[in-house]
Amino acid sequence: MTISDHTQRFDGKEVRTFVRGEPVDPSADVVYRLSLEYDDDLTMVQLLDEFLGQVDKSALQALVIGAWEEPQETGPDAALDALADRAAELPNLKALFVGDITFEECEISWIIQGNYERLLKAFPRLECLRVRGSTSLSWPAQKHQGLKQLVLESGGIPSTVLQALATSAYPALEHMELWIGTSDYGFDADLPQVQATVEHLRTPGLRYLGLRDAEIADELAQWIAGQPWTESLSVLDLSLGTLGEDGAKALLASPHIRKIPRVDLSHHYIPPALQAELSATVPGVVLQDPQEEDGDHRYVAVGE
Amino acid sequence: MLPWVVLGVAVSKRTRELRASCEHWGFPAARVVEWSDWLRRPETLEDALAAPCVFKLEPPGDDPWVHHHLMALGAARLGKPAPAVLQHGELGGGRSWFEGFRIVMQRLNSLLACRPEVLAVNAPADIMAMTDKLDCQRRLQARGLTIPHLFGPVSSHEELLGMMDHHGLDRAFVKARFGSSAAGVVAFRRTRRGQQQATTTAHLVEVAGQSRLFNVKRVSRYERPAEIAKVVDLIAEQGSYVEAWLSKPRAGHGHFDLRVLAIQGRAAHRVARVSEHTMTNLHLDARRVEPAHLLSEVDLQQVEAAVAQAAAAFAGSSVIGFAVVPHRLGPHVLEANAFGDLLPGLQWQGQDAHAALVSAQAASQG
Repeated sequence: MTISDHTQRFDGKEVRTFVRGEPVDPSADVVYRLSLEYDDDLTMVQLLDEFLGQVDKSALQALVIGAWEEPQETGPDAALDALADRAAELPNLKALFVGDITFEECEISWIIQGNYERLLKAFPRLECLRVRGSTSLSWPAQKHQGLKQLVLESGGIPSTVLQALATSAYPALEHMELWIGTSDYGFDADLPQVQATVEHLRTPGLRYLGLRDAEIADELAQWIAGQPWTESLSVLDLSLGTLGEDGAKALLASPHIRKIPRVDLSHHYIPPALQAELSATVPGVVLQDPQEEDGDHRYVAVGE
Repeated sequence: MLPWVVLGVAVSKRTRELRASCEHWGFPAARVVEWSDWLRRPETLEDALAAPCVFKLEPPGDDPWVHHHLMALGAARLGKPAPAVLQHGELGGGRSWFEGFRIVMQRLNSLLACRPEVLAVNAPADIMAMTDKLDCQRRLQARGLTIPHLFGPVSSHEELLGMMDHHGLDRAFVKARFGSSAAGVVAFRRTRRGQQQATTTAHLVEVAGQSRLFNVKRVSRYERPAEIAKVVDLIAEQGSYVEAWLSKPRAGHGHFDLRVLAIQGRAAHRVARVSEHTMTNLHLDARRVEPAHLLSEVDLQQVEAAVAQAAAAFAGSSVIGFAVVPHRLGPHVLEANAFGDLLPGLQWQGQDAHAALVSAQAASQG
């Protein structure tokens, strides 16, 4: 599997693609996606200007940035800076997705990301930030009071990003979703580093923890199974990774995991007998999309 | 009314449909001469065309004997060694196959020249020109049509990379030059950091240490440069060219292009092919949509005008299938297909494609 479809819903709103020259629906339950085609002759900043010229900026709550110009060669920095420059005009922007890009537009590991320091400083009231792609991703180590949801999707999260997160502070964080990925596509950290990041960022209010698309899913599960604080989660999401027998046994034996309302293990390599035991013991377990090993090799769901 | 004679494959769907349309329009039953019979005994067609008739050439289907015969004929003419027999679905032949096809089209042309009372639906010279896809695109361009930019023939993966460097490209299509289907189309992209990806229905198989390509009905993606080089080299070996990557217009969450049939020079049957996965032109998962639901009247008129102009480049042909991409810079013609009239079930002004062609022939006979 790769990411083959554009996001249909974001921030609880229906995602529509902004088409130049066509009217914009001002309803609060619609969010627009700005995206360039391969041979478009304008820039994302121009498209953004055009879009912002058509909407009530003071009411804009959410925005999705799709493919910018040549995402495989350059990051979205110009667009991020343009947003930061206009932050005062966008007092209600609460949710931002940078990189709603399908594999056809650009493989996730080919996407060049940008520097988020100015953006995060300029929008202290931003509540939801979702970023796809982590090549060249420059993450600031800083405090952000408003951030409730942080989603970093990648084929392999770099240790530099984990380090920055482990020295940041997001006291309002409720939803932490990190796609760990594989060493083939940029994951150059190890379990202790992921542990340190999660331990540092978790808040009493954390309700969703996603450590997804991980080639170290078994190790992550063995560690997480021993963490009493997980009992306050609503969702533990270990999906899209290579979870197998070892991780599943640890989750099964844990007195904490069974108390989480939803434990998503979809896209897994768990033997059928163990799946049955999990279903009997962990009421919230989700075991969709079982995989079969290829020889003795397991693949994460989103690579390349 | 003149009877119809078809050079084709009697059991094929297109021949069956054409026969049914002839019957429906009150023509005498169409007579079918098999490609393989004609190549073995030319007099079969000579006899069939002895009396005045409407003559339609259909493609030879997948008869391995016919294709091997064409390849052998072409190889001999080109002074190449006799070709190996291709396995089912194997991509190969290329230049030799086309040379063989050209030889038999010339034979057909000579025969038709001696039979002025035979009305050919599509002239052999046009069919030949449309079967060389690079030549076909060049001809359309010379007639003033907008086509995706042509970067010209390419003979290897290495040359492709050099060409892309030279033009500052990170995406391109490599297309097999000879043939009429999507077989041998490679959507290629790369980053300047050296990552590469090739998407194609050509499936690379290693047989006894030898790399061979097979056309399959699913898309394969290659990521390893060594494999990509093999795929592109094998396609390039058979004659191929490089074409610019053209973005297609949106339809909801997908993108689309159009298939438009020109009948006697005018745009007739048309259908939009909407696909969520448009990396290639292959439309393996395409959904048919009525074009009027996606395009304005003005846009459709532009498409119709482009199709009429493109059809005029093949004035000896009564039925041509065009692939057209509506674009902000005007409609782009992606392909002309001399055998593009197999559009089962698609109606235009109350008739399917074969019925429309047969009735148009009837009308033109007065």
